Amino acid sequence: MSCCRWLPAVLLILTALLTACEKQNLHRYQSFAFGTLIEIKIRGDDKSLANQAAANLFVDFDRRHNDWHAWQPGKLTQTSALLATEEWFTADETVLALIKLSKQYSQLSSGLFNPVIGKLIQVWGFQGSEPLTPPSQEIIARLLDKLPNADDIDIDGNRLRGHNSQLQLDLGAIAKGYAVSTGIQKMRDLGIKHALINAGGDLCGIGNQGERPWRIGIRNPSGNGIIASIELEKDECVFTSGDYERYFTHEGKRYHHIIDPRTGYPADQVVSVTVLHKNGALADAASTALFIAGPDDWQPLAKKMGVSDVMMIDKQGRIIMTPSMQKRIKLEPGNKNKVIISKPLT
Amino acid sequence: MKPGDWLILCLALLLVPLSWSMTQRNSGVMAAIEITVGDQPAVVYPIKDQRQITVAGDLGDSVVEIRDGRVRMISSSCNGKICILSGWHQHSGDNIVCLPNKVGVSLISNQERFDGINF
Amino acid sequence: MNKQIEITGEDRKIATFAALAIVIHVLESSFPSPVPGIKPGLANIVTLLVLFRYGWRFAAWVSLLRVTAGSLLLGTFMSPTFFLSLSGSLASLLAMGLLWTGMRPWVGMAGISILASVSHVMAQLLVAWWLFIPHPGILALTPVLIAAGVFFGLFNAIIASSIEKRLEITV
Repeated sequence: MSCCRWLPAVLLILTALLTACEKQNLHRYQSFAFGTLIEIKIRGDDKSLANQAAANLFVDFDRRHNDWHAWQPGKLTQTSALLATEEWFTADETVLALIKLSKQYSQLSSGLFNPVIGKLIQVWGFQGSEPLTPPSQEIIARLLDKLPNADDIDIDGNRLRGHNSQLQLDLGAIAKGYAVSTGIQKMRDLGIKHALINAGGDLCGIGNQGERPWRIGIRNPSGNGIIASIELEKDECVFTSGDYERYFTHEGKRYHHIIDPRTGYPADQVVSVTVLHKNGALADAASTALFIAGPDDWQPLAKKMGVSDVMMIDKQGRIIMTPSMQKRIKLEPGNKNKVIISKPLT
Repeated sequence: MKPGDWLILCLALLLVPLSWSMTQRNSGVMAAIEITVGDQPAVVYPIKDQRQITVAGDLGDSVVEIRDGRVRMISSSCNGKICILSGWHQHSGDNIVCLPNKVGVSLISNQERFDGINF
Repeated sequence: MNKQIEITGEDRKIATFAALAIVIHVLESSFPSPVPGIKPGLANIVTLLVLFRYGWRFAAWVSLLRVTAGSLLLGTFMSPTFFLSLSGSLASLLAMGLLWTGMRPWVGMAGISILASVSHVMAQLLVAWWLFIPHPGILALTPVLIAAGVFFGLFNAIIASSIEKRLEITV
């Protein structure tokens, strides 16, 4: 039939036209883990590799979520129990690396990032369903009396020993950062060059979107849209700690989940801190520590922790940022907040 | 009408809702506009601006106005002026296109403007 | 050098129909269209008639002559409009050819006209998107244009088939 002579040519043209549509090599995946929505974007021609990498990542996240859960029975709660016995024990490898890192960052943050105040966080109700009332002053005072810190953990190879019966691990301030960071590293190891992992608002990226770098919008803590945007160059992570993430309101006052270990109460001078850094675990821990440090004391702490790209929004709505962060951040036009550029962190 | 005619008619009619769902983009609150001229990369303008943006297309200038969270084409160097006649737009997913001048204005939500939102 | 160019009867027919199509095309262009890019394409009625009476080759000649001469007359030759029109015509000719040579027992004017019309519209859309404005706004027009293609394809087929029954052609 004479039509069959034309068919291959026609099909070829049609296929060529169709493949011109849309960006064929940007793959998107979504799932739930770490109690939040995880979104992965991978750019690359190998779709089955991307599928595999995303699937692996979700499995990893799920596993880590269970292993590092602060209150549901699992590896972390077991480790906390063993630490409280104040005897040497061999730590499970799934938590060991994270505990070592947490101790290191805790020391750098002068204890403001404290990975072992699980009991304090518990009485505030931020483990499990939130209560409607803040804990009494007596309870807080009692906990502060013997408040453990990271120095109360001795580390010898893969063995740990606690020095405080009140030790209870809560790695919420670093777990996501560590998981996303190692996740993106695994992608790199698989040969993926361009990816963005967004775990409930905290994200790490490698490579770029294709026509441009990965473009990130930073939400306005007041809730109204976007306050600033940033483009990821090289491989880096953006982590934000905010007073709007987990909180409850009691008698008109808001109590959020970032507890100052010095006072036992939620840190209340700051509304959000955003940290940009290659290392997701560090960015995560630093954003919490700097949040607690507040507008007056954050700078020496940032320097000590080794983060130089910081943006802090205080209770008055002032945007304070380091000079190097100012180079990276693009504030939205029409921004009415006062902007303060701090001195460089030399 | 022969049987083949009916088949073609049905298939073609099916294409309408199919292409509709395929070309639907996330509607969300409009947060920015993307202006494309020819095949150059799009330039993004946040919606909080109150401003007029002049772009140079093949035939001449096209002027886009952003005001009070809405967008419209104010003037354009084309014959039909359909882009202007389409009036104000404010929903993400909407488009204003001046085909002869090769200028396109796309209303996008934050989900489309950014690859990720950090909070 | 005594080469004579013979004007065959075939040539005459093609020229007549092409002229008719061009006139219809030019007249139609003077009417404004409420929606951008949507025209009934009444000149295609001529193409359909020629296809069914004289075959695909004729129809191809008439169609391409119409597009070229029409654009010369309207002053859009070599403009984006011309290339869009041309690509649309090529696509619809291809579609018509496929159906005409492969599926003639099962399709009549309606099917061929609808497929030609939808192909025309889709090709124009893709060319506009690919070469002129790679803008999602163009693709968003797809459902509307396809619907119009189906409608006018059917419309033209109805007119063409009722003319065909009554038409006596002497050229």
